[in-house]
Amino acid sequence: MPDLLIAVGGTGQHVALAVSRLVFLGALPPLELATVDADDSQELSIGLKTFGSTVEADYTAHPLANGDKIYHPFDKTIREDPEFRDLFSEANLDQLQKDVFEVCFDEISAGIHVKDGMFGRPSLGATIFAHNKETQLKPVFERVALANSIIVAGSVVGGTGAGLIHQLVKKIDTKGHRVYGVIFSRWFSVPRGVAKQTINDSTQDRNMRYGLDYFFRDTRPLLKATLLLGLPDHPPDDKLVPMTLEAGRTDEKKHYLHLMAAYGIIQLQRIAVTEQTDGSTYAASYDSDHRTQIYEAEWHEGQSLSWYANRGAFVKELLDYACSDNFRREVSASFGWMGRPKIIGQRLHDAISLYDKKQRENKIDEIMRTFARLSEQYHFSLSWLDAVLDPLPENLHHDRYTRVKSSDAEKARELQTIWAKNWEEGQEVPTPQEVGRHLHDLLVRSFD
Amino acid sequence: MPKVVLLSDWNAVPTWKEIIGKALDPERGLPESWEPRLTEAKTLDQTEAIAFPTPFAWSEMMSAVIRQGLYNHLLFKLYEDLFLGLVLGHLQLEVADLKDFELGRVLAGTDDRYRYFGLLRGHPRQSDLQGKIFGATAPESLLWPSPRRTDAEWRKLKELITTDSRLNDGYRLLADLRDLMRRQKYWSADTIPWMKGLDRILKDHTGSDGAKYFQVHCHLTGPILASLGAGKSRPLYFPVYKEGFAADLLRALTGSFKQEEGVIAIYDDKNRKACEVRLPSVPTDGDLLLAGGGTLRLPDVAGRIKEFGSARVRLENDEKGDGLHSLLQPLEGALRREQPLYDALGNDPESIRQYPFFYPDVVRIPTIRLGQIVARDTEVSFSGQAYELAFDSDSSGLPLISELEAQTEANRSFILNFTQGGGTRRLVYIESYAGRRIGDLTALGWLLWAFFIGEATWQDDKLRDAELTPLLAETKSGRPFDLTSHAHERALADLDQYRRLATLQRFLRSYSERAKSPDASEVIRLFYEAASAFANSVWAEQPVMENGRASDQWQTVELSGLRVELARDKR
Repeated sequence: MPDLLIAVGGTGQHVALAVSRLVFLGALPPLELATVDADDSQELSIGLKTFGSTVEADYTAHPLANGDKIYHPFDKTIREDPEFRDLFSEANLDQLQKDVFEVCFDEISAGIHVKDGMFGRPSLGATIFAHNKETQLKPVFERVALANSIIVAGSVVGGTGAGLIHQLVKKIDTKGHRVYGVIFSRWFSVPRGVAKQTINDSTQDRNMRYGLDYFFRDTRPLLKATLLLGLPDHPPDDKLVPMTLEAGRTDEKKHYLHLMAAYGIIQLQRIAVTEQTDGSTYAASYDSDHRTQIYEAEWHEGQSLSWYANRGAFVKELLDYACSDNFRREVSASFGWMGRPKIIGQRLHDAISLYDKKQRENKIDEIMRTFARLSEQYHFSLSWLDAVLDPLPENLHHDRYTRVKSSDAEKARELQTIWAKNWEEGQEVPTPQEVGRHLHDLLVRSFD
Repeated sequence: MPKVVLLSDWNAVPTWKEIIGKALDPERGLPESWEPRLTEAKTLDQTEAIAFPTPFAWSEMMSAVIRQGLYNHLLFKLYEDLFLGLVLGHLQLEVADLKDFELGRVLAGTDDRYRYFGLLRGHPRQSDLQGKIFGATAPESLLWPSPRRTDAEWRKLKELITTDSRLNDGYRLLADLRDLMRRQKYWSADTIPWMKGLDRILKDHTGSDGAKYFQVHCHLTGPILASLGAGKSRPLYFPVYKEGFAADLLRALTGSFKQEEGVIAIYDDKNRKACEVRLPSVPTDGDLLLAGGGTLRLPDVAGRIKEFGSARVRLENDEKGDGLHSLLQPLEGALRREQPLYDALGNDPESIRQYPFFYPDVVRIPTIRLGQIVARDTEVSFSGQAYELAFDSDSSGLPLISELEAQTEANRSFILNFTQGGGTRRLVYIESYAGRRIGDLTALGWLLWAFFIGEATWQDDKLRDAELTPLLAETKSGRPFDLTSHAHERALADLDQYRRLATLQRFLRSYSERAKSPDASEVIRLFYEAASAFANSVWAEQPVMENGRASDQWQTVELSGLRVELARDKR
C-alpha cells in the first residue's frame, strides 16, 4: 500500500496539489490521497480533483490514488444550510443534553451556518468532525487502516482544517501507524472584504496561536514527527511574502511553502529512520544566498528535484513535438507507399499497424490526444514549479534536455531512438490511449 | 539575514545544516512567542474561546487564562465564583456519563477524559439560580464557566457568596485541600492550571489545624478527573463545607440500609431517609468511581432531625440486614482496581487519611473515623468509651495503631496482643489520645484497686462491687477488661477518696514486681500500666513511687476465657 496523505481544509488542498505534481514528476513516491473539506466547489477543489483539468477518462489519470475525491465532514445532501445547532437537533434534546450543549457552545456559535466552512471557528470544526467521523468520514478511516505511513497536512489558522486536524490525528490509531504532521501557520493574508470576512489576518493569528497551544499539548505527542511551516516575519525575498487573497477568487494560491510541505513528506520519513523523532517538531530553513538549494536536495530515490524537473521538461518537449502537426503528418506518411517507420519510431508505427486501416487515422488522433493530455499534465506541474521556485537555472539544465529543447531534429532523433524497438504484440490490441501512455513511459524511463 | 527559519514569530537562525531540521524537542512546550494573546475580556462575548480546536474550547480558554496569569480576565473572576459557589453549596456538582447520549458520545470521542462530565448547577434552594448550569468540570482547570449565563445571573451567584457567613469556612476548606495535597507532594501550581488558579483564589487564606475542616466539616462531591501533573490524572473529590458532617454521616451509618435504584438509601430509626449513597450501574467500559460511586446525595432541603439510637456503625450484616461491607462490594472492587493508591476499602486507613481527597465519603469517613476497626474481620478493638470518639464532631475519630505506638503525653495507651482461638487480636486501651482523655487504663486500674482494697470481689465467676453489681462489660467480641459504662463513670469520678499514699505505693509495687519479671505476661504488663495510670490519676501532683511490700495474696480468676491473677492487699 502506498502511504496516505490526508489533506485537511484549504491549506491541505494546496499541499495536495503540490504533492500531486511532484508525484507526477516522480520526485515523490506514489501516494494515496484523502481530502477532507467542507467545500468542494471552488476552483481550488476542482483544480485538485481534475489535476488542473488534465484528467480525462481513458487518456490520463490523477497522479494520486483517490485524488479526485473530497470527503465532506458532514452530509451536505440532508440539510440545505444547517446551523451548527441543527446538527445536534438541539430542539429535540432532553434537558441534560441541552445543558451539556449549552455549556460547551455559546449562542453565536450555535447559530453559525456551517455548510461551506466553519467561519474561522475551529471549535465547531472539531465538533463536526467528531460528530461525523464514523459516518461521513468512514471512507477516510478505511484508507487509514490500510496505509503504512500517514501524513496529515493542513493549517491551524482557518476554521475547517484548524478544527479538524487535531481530532483527526486523535482518531487515527497512532500505535498501529506512523503518522506525520505537516502543519501550516499563517501563509496568506486576507484584506478586508474578502472571503465573506469570516477570517482576517487577526483571526488567523488568533487561530494559529490557540491552535498551536492545543497542538503542543494534545496533538504533537501522537505524531511521529511534525513539520511546522509558516512565513518568516522578515522574508529575505519575495517568494516568502504572504499570498494575498483577492475578492471573488477561489483559485489556487501557489506558494513556496507548499513545495516545502511536499519535501517534508519525504524528508520526515527519512529522518525518522535515523533519529528518534517521536513528538519532535521540525522546521524548514531558506537561504536566500542559495536559492537553488531545494532543487539540489535529494528527493525520491536519491535524485534531485532538478533532475526530476529536467526529466519532466525533457519528456514534455518530446510529447509536444509528438503531437505537433508536423509529426502528425509524418506519422500518417509513414504508412504511405514511400513511408519510413523509423522516422516516427518503429514502436509507434508497429502499434498503429495493429489497427484496421480504416480506423488508422482516427486511432492516430487518439494517440496524439493522449500525448497532448500528458503534456498538459507536465505543464501543470512544471509551470507550478517555476512559479513557486525560480525557473530552473541554466546551470542545472541537463544536457539531454538542453539538446531536445534546441531543435525539432533533436527531438525526432530522440523519439526514433527511444521508440526504436518493435512493438511486442500481445493477445489483445491495445487502445490508442494505452499506446500513448506506454510510449510516454518509455520516454520517462529513457531519461537518466 | 540570508538564512531564515520558515516560521512566524521565530527569530533564531536555523541550527541545522539541511533544509529541514529539528526545531523543538518533544519535551519543549509552546514557545512564548506563539502563546495565545488573550485579551482581558470584560464580557463573555469578547472571549474568543471558539478558536481552540476542540468542543471543550471554553475549558481550554479557562486553562489558558490561568496559565497566563490573567487574573483580571472576566473568566477568572467567574472561575473564582465557581470555586466558592461550589464549596459553599450554592452550586451542586452533577456527574453525567457522556456516553449515555449521542451528543455526549461525540464530545467524549474527542477527549475521553471528559467522559464523566461534571455540570455545576444552581442549588434548588436558590430559586433564582435553581437548575441553571453555571459551569462544568475539566481535567486541567477543574472548573470552567458557562458562556450562556447572563450578567445578572453571575451577579446573583456573587451576591450569595459574598453575603454568606460561612465564606471564610469555605476558604479554609479549600486551603485544607491544598494543604493535604501539598503534604503528599501533589501540589504543583507552577505546572497545573487548576492548582495555580486555586492558589490565586486562596491568596493569604490558610487551612485549619490538621486539615480538620476537610476531615470533619465537609462532604465530598464529584469526582472530577483532575490533572495531577506528569500526564497523570485521578478522580479528585471536591469539598463542600458542612459543619460536623463526618460525625453526622457516621451516626447515619448506624441506621438501616436499603438497596434502591442506583443507590443505597440510609434510613433512620423512624424509617426516614437520611441520605443516599450513589452506586450507579455502569457499562462494562465504564468506571464506577468516576460515575460518582460512593458519593452521597443529601436531601436538597434540610428536613427534620434524623434519629439514630445505635452506637455501632453497621459494617457487618446483622439483624437489620446487610451491612456496609456487603453493600459496598462493587465499590470495593472499583477501588482495588485502582491499586496501589486505593489499596483496599478499609484495609489501608493510613492511605485514606493521607489522601482523603481521592476517596468518596462512604469510604473516607468511616475509615478515617474508625481507623483499623472498619476493616472486615479486624483484629483491632477499642473500648466503648474510645469508640465514642468516632461520633464526636470535634474529634477526627479513632486513632490508628501506628499513632499509638509512640507514647507521648497526648497519646497514652496500651496495646494488648491477645491470642484466642488461634488468632491474635490487638486490644487497644487508650488513656488519652490527641490530648483527649478516654481513661481506659485508669478505669481498669480502678478495678484492680477496688479488688486490691477489697471493695470488689470475685463472686459467681464475675468481678462485682459491694452491691454485687458486675463491673466488667460482656461484649459480643469477648474483649476482656472493659468496664461497664456505669463502672467506667464511677472509676473516673471522685478519685480523691482513694488518696491513700502507702496503699497506692504497695498497689503499684505488687503489679510492678510481676510486670518487670523476665517472664511477665502481656496481661500483667497491662495491669501494671493500668495500676500506674490509676495511682497517678489519684495523686496527680507528683508521681506515685512503688514502695512497701508487694502483696503475696493473688487470686486467679478467669475473665473472657483468660486466666489472670489479681493482687489483694495483705492488710
